[in-house]
Amino acid sequence: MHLADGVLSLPVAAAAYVGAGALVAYSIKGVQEEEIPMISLMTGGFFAISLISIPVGPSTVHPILGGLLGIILGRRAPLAFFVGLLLQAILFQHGGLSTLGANTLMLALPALLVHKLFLGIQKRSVFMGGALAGGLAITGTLVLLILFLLFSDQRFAEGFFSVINLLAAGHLPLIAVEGLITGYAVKFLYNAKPGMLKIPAVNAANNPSIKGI
Amino acid sequence: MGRSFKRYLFPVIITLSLVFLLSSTVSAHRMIVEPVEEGIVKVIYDGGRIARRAEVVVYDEAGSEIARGGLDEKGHFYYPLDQGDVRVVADDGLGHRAEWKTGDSHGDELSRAVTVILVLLGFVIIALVFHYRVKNKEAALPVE
Repeated sequence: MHLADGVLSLPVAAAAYVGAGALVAYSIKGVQEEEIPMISLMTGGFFAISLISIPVGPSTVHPILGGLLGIILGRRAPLAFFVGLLLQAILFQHGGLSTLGANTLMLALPALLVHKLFLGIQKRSVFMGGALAGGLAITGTLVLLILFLLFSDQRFAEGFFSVINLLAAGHLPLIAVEGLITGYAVKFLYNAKPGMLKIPAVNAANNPSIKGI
Repeated sequence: MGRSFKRYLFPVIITLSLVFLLSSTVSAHRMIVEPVEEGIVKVIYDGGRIARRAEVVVYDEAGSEIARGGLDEKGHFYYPLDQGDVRVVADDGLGHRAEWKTGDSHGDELSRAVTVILVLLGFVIIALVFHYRVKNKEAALPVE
């Protein structure tokens, strides 16, 4: 899931860096001190959990929890992904510094998207909202990953056992698994700690310490 | 006061339990360059599966490339012995990368888990520091 150094062509990596830079800047803008503990903990959680790799066929798949981070952190999610990925690249050569921009974009864009989506759906069913968000976040990441590879080198798509086909096949189970996990996690949080989910109605009703939003 | 603490209790517990979980699973699927004998390295994933897609590049001490190629059927790669100490870098193009230098043994299993724990600890500390800063700030404000 994480692109290593040297996989992307220079223009693609550079363009991704620009995009990711803008996204992270947007993410940092206006951070309140109150938000930092949660951002910090979620970053740590993401850092740790995406180091676990599960072998699927010839490739490996990492849990990402992109949807969950998106739901809980909202616009702060890109910051968490960026810091987590940076640490992984430096400490474990997992991913790479030249592809940091692309990796951040791959995770952050879908996370922002499902955050909006979740806010729309959760009124009907919190579990469904979470599950959809979790699954769609991975789908979005996969689509971006494939796009990045295609922009860099068409050969990634050649043949039945091409890198892209293998990646797509490997991530199908992850979409289902992350959907379920995110659904249950969100449902649990909704019951146990509703303040963590940035749902306006819930925050106002149950968490007077958070004003407005 | 009790409530704001509880707000962070759940993620803290999750994070801590992850640490313990990870102590065993963190090395679950890393790529490893393993010395077999002099002149031969083996590139495998944790668990022993051969990293078939891996491309191996060998650098000499000055950092210039002296050999490059894929693995043979047994997952072995033969590097030139007449170039002194070398650095072997394997990359499977799917996000896994491993390095090995002549003379390295493989005792970094522990340090990896320790690194993860230290990083997580760092995040927890940041979270706590800001949590208490915010709490102090709130306490300084007049009660509404």
